[in-house]
Amino acid sequence: MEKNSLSQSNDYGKIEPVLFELLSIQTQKFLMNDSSSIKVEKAQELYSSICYSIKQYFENGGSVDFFINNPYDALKESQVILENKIQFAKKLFLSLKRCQFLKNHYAFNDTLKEIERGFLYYDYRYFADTFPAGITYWLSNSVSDDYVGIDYILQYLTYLNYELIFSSKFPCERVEKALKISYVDYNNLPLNTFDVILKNAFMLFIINKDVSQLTVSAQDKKKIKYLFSKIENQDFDNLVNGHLPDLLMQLGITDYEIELYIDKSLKNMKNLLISQ
Amino acid sequence: MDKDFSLILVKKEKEKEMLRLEKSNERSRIFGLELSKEQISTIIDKRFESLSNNGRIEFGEGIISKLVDAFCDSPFVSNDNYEQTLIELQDSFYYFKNESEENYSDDELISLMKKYFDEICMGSIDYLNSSSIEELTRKVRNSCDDYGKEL
Repeated sequence: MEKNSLSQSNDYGKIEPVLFELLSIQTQKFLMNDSSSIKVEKAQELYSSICYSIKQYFENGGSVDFFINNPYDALKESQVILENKIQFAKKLFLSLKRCQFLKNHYAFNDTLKEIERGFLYYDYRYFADTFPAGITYWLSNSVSDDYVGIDYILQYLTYLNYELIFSSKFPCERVEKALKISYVDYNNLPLNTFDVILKNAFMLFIINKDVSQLTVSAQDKKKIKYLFSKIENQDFDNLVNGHLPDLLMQLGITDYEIELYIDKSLKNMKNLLISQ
Repeated sequence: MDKDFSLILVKKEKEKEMLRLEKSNERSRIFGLELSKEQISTIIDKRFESLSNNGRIEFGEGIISKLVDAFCDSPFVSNDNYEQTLIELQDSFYYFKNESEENYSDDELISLMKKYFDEICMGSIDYLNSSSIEELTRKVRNSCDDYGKEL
């Protein structure tokens, strides 16, 4: 969900006064009727949370008329949507946490701990657009800043899941060996391990080597260098388009979304690969 | 948020607040205190000024009616200083609200301020304004002055 889409809506003129009405209700609830005033900064946080929640309501087929006449009911409906997203994100998180891959990687583990803590403290009733977790493990394709709140975490976990699905197609010890060759202290570096695995697998694949080995020898590198020296930028995209589907088929990955993600990752590392 | 957040709310609240304060006159009249329409309008304008100065927004029933209820029986408030006292009290209220980091409810804070105003400040708004929330809390709870003397 994009964060600014509500203010760009054609009906925003009708919606805005109702949003302020909701802000008044939510502020009183937040203050538990103990206080009639609130700091501007806090009111702004509550307002952006309301906007984010109501966007969920509209994006899931909620009607403007219903919202104008029953704003609080619409907010409640949006909170049910958020609850469902939280549950889905928690399930995805647990499946990633069970995965033994990268169990010694500092940034990866730190990020999982932060997200776990985030689920405990995420307050979707009043601060729905803020998921309290610091992410230090970088993804190959970063999540757009347009995603906020639980949507951001859901997108992050989805991408991370894609990366782990791909990485788990290779034996752990070979992954570890390949990573150590690239970065001796990889467990303590904030690097994306999927990028290293994908890069090696793709290089081996295009020179018809056993992909599962994952280690690129000096001789392999020479062949790859020679291959890349003959291609232009445009040709690189064609090379990826020509080989990636076969590589993924060989690895037993058939999900189209994962294929799109990996395709984007490979094309992002074009310069890195060409300079090998 | 691009718009001036507080201004949108100010317009909506002003008319309602006028009516509330006119009603408060019924209670304060018992103690010989009454606000004219101009005075009410001034107090409300100052309310929003004070809220803005203290970086706060108020929803629903504002604090002025509660201040009127609490302070109209103070022996230090007369019709001559009524308007000015309310203006300064609401300013102090929002200041203390920020200082207390929302740890007091409105009613608790007003009750503390009233006791402090009557028993320690002896009606001096300047003394009230120069106090910190810690002093206010400590002195009212201990009911003693700066020298520890029981009041």
